[in-house]
Amino acid sequence: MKIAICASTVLILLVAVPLGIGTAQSALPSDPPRGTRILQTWLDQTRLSDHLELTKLRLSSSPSPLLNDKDERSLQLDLRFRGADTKPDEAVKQFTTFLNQYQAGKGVSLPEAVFYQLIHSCDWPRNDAVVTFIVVEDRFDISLDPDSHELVFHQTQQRGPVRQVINIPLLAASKAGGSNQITVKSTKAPSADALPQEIENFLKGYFVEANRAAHLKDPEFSYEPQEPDYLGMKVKGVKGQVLASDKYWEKLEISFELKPAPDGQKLVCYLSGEYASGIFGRLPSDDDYAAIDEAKLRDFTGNLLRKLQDHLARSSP
Amino acid sequence: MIESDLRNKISILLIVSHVLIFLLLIVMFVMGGLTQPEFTTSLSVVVPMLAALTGLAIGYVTSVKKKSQLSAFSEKLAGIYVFTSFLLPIVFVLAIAAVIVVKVINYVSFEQFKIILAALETTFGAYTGKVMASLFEKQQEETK
Repeated sequence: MKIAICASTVLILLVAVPLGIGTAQSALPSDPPRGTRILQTWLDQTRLSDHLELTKLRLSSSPSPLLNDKDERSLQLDLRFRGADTKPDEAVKQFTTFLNQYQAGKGVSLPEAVFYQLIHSCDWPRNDAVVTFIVVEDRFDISLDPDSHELVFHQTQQRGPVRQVINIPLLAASKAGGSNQITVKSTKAPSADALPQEIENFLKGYFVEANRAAHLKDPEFSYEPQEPDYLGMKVKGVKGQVLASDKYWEKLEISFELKPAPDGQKLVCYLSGEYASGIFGRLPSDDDYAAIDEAKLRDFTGNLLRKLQDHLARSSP
Repeated sequence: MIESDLRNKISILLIVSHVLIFLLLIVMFVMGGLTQPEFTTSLSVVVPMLAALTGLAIGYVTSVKKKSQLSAFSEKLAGIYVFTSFLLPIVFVLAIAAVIVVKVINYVSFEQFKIILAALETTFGAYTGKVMASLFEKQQEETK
């Protein structure tokens, strides 16, 4: 029996070492095939794939005139609109109607939702990402404007120069339960510069506290460079936050945009999440995560924002 | 060791191992060590790996319903044969169990888990099958 156990151990080591066990958690900062898989799953789950076809996701080394850092590689996502009409003008009208219907139904701008889904899925900085909607002969590029830090539409014809640049309209008023946005009244909120830091501290405290209550070690955080009107962070190593079951590890990516609103400021939250299995303390490999259902993410986002709103109201002078 | 003794012990070992590996997968799934897609994939990979061996054991057990049939086969076996007959299935089953445990505690990803299982099957499945076949198939033919 002892011989058998030793042989088994040796066998595991022989097989395991060449496969790189122990380095399972080290992943490339961005992985387009995996990103494509996640984005396609998201499009299918949200039924957006009925209207949009993911045609290309690639890392482009050629500098894009749309991007802020022209020396860096850019992440480019192409989505083809499955419009019924092949006449360019009619197709663009259909596309515009589709965008309006989406925003009216979900309370979220579709280009913004796709843009943040892209940077979350591919773990990519928002400054160097472009989403392109292809509508017959027209292209609608969505990227971050370096000056205003707003997402902007660049509509171009495939064989022509840039035709116009328009700001994406502001989102509709805050809704109850599951909305991705809250209003922050200017008299109650911390100063504009301090708000992203305040939100970051709140989120960090929230997840650390939740893990300690569940007797788990503190989660891992990674942050995107903070801007006065933007905050992005990733949280790894939490359980039971989005899913009802606390058996699975969750990995969340959260982006906050601070936008002006008539009665103060508006915080818009974009959240994507994945889950993976595993018992004891070791976190799963990045490859093992699967997307969490959007309805569950929406519920969690609503709850999180309500808590954040309470926190901001309490912490105001 | 006599042949019928070895057959009995190996049969019990294989049947019990098969059940234990199946239970191990279920327990790990319930504890959150495997997601539902991982669990179903693991079952569909691991269970057939053992089923071929367990099938031989079950075939033997069903062919010796009466005690007199058992005592009919009592030739003394070579030590090296007995050692190999025990070693291969034990290592095979322990290795499968170890790989499952290593997966659920996240020392390997699910893709690596599947690759290791395939490597185990390639490395041990054929040899173990051959030894077990030599032990059981001859006896089954004789009882017919």
